[in-house]
Amino acid sequence: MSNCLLCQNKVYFDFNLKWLMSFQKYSISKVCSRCNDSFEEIKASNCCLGCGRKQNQQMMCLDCRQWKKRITGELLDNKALYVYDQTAMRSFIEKYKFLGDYRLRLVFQNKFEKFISINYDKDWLYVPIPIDEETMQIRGFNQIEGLTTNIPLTRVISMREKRGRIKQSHKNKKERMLTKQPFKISEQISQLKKAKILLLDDIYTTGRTLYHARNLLMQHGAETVKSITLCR
Amino acid sequence: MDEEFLYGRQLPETVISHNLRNAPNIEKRPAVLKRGKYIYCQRCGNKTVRDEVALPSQRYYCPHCILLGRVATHNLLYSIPEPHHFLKITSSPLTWQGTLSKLQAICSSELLEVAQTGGKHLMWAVTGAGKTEMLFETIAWALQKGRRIALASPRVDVCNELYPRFKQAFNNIDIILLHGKQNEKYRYTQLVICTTHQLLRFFRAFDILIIDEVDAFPFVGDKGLAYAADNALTEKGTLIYLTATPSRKLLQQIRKKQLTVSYLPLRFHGYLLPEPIIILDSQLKVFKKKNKLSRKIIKIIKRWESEGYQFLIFVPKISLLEPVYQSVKKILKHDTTGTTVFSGDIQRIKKVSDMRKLKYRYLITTTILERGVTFPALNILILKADDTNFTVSALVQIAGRVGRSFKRPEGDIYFACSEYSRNVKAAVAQIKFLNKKGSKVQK
Repeated sequence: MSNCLLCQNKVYFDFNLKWLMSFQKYSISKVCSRCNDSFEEIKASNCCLGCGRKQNQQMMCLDCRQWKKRITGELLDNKALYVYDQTAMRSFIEKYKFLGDYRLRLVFQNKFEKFISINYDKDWLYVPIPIDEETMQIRGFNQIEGLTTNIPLTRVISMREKRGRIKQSHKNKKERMLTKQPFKISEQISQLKKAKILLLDDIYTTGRTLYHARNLLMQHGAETVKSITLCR
Repeated sequence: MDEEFLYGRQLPETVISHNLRNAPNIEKRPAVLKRGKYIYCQRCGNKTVRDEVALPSQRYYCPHCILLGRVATHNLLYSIPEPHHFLKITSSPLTWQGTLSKLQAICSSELLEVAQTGGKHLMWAVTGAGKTEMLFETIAWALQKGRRIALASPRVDVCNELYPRFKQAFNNIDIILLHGKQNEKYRYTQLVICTTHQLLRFFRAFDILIIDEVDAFPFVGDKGLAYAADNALTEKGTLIYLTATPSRKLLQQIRKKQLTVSYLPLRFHGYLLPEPIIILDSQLKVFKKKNKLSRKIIKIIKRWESEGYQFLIFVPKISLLEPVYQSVKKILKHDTTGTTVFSGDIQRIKKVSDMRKLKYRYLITTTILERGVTFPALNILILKADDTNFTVSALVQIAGRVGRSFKRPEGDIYFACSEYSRNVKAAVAQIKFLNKKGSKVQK
């Protein structure tokens, strides 16, 4: 028995015969079933092929058609686990990222890691989107690395500026789209030649950040760049 | 930022400006201490297993008080010792015109005595005894003496209710209201009204700290808040608890002489508490399936409608609000308006004030309105009073909403339950016990 990380209610383990005969380890879930159900999952059959947003048909959304015109080559084909614009997920991000409750990484860690390794095998380089030094100082962790502690990460990009950047979350859509390239390649350039790269981030909103990272990696010789985010 | 910002407060460097960090008389202490397997938060006093709250940078944070902004092992708490820099008040700051009853006056002077000597004190007064008015004398005295005073409650609604009343009673005194849902910027004032959570931001600030409704959630069962109250008090300060339904722990402290007590068993208008009438109704058990109220209950609600008073219906769970509302709406006339109120309701504060403005005839609600809210002439029905969500103190508190005006000191209070449960029995017994005491004083 333990407490749910999100609502503090007790979480009980269901000891039953099926579990006993499965010879699985005893592992109690970190979140109660009610909180777990409050997040809205995105099904692969019902989302945009370009950005992973939830919609009724499996086709390209308007924003992604715009991206298609703007860049050369393929789209990111982003895949996301959950819908972002919804009370439970917004409050989760607020608590995890902005209040800095690092324990909450455990809410999605297992599922997110599994989601990554099922979709993209070990031939891919997993590249997390970085945060700047100032944010790291204050927050003490990179939100995306918290969600992917148990898979091998390749940290090849970093922020250009150490501090003073206006966060994407403080901007509106138009301002976001006008953001200039915030990243630089930090090391291990030889690794990038002909590499297949998977970018990891917590939220896909306009796609601006992820496409900046993609463009940079393509310039340095990456073969393909795709992405996965926790929510869209 | 001025130095005033930190007088008697404790804040991490993340929320204070650079120049303030180097103020001459500033005190710093680590926000979180490491001791073996555990970390100890210096702000909320809670201990946590270290490994559960480790950041990748080998720092550890306290998860208990994180809603007030995270503090970790690398953070410091800054404070400036309370200097009591207040304007001298020469004449009495009390602008309240009312008078106290004989019993109230006795309690009031007892409080004043405690405030002068220090220590911990409980004022046990029945619901609607006029606790707020009894505080005025003490607070007026303390204001004149240049003491700093805080009035805290675990519930936001209570704070919101107290604030205008104190503004009125102390017309020329600057009072600040602090709670999590409010945007007013902090300023240094002699009198503070706040939620008990906000006390976590204070350090040896108050000479007199009054906690209203100590038995309410989340103060009960949260060690952090009791720690915060002790921390917010100056070393020789006075802590005064107010409640109508003291917890077992408080009663124990009285027996051990750790807590002095004054006692008021009569309401301010001198009448006894309305005693609840129990309705045994087996149909309540199947309400969820049938969505139908029994004839007994319908009869009561219809009578209330024709009598013209406002009424509240309490249900144990949020999920019951809508079905009960629908079935009540069905039996009433079209112009009898009402609505539902619950804790997560965005319009909660507006709905309550609309009820006070007589825009609604009735509210269907959960225990969120069990205390602190006063409507002058009410009738109340508790559906499923035997549900475990209704504790003894909740039932006594709800019953205490009835008959709180001179014009209508009585009123109906019904406990509708399918079983005669232990809590219902105990609540009725407690009210009867208080009334017995009250009727002795009445004569």
